[in-house]
Amino acid sequence: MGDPDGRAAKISPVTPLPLPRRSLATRAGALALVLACALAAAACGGDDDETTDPASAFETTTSIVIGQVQTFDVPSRNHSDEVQSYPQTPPVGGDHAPVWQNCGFYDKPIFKETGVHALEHGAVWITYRADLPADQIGLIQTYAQQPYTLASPWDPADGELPAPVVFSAWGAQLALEALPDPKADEFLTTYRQSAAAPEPGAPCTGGVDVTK
Amino acid sequence: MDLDLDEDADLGQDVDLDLDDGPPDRSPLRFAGCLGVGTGVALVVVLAALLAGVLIGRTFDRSSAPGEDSVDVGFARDMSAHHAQAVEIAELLRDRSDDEDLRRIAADIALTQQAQIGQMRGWLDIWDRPPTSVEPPMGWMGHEHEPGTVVRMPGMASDDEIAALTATRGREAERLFLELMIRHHQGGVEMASYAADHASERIVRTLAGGMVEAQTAEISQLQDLLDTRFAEPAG
Repeated sequence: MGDPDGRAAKISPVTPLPLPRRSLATRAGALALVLACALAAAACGGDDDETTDPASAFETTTSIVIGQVQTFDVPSRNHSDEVQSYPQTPPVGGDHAPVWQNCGFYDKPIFKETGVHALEHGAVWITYRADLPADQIGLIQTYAQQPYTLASPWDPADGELPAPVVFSAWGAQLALEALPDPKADEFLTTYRQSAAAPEPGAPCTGGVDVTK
Repeated sequence: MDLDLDEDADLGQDVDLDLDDGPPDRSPLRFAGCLGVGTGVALVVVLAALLAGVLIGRTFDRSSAPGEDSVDVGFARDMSAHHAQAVEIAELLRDRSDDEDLRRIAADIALTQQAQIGQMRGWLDIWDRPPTSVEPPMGWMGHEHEPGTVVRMPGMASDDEIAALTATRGREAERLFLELMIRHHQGGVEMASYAADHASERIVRTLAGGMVEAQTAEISQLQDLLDTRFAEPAG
């Protein structure tokens, strides 16, 4: 009624993500994906709700222990065009942008909402302090050339990075003081394309390369 | 009645004869026969148990699955990454061209190779091997590299080439797609041929052999398209 484009439902008090406009085909594809996810959630989402209360699962995950893998329950993974506020810094999952960040190395920060979508596809996202020495950046670049890996400097505007380098996967995180560290290799081997991610095998290309 | 009596008489005669001629030869034979049957049954049971054990072992024992450094595991991991780039290139073409023939070929390549990625991923899960490795690719084909060097698998497009394809549309995208995919398939055939000859698992050799056949045929098809549509002007 008086809204021929059906856009009224999209008006929201929260900040929209400043991502580039997508083509109609992409939007249709995203819509189909959202519908498919909603159907899948309706069909088999009952189990998740019984195990943990989403709020309490997130509240237990505030402190970061450097050098130890920490795992988290991720209670929700809807697609949203809005800026998200994640309980972990950097995020390890949650609602995210409809489009995913392509794997590879970035020398500028990316939007955390597209990064989380890459985690959903089974990628490991390495976030680093932008002022790291060149040898550390070089090691991170080497990792970022491996399958299902992306790396980007962390934007301090999104919160303080808890360590110079942080490896994040869906529901898991490893914060490190420096590279190389065998724990980093172990984390990558364990979590890249892991069955712990909701959609391992979904692409890590064909998304966006957008940086801030 | 008569018949019964006659048989009794016969039996009695037999016993007498046996006793007269020394140790009865039928009883030991019967005993040996029982022993033979018993041993046979026992052997069958033991063999069946052994066979079952071997089968169960093959199914559940990790040590019989291809190991970390095997051709099978290396091929499954590296070919998955190799295929993923073919899917990427094919998808880029589909978003950049209206040519029905090329779009159909691109869809064929993307869907075939994405399905094969799933097959190879399934093997790695069954073999209890992680889907990716931090080691440089191609070690399973005997390629050795200095630590820290960037290793690109045969036929892989560079980041710049992917960026160039991403930046074009229409005819130029079609030409780039054909060139990149022909080279990508040639590299894929090189890797799959090695796996078809050297993998330990039959299922790996079979899929790898199929890749060699299919991609070899597609190389001819793609080359024909490149030659007919983008032939160098004469002179």
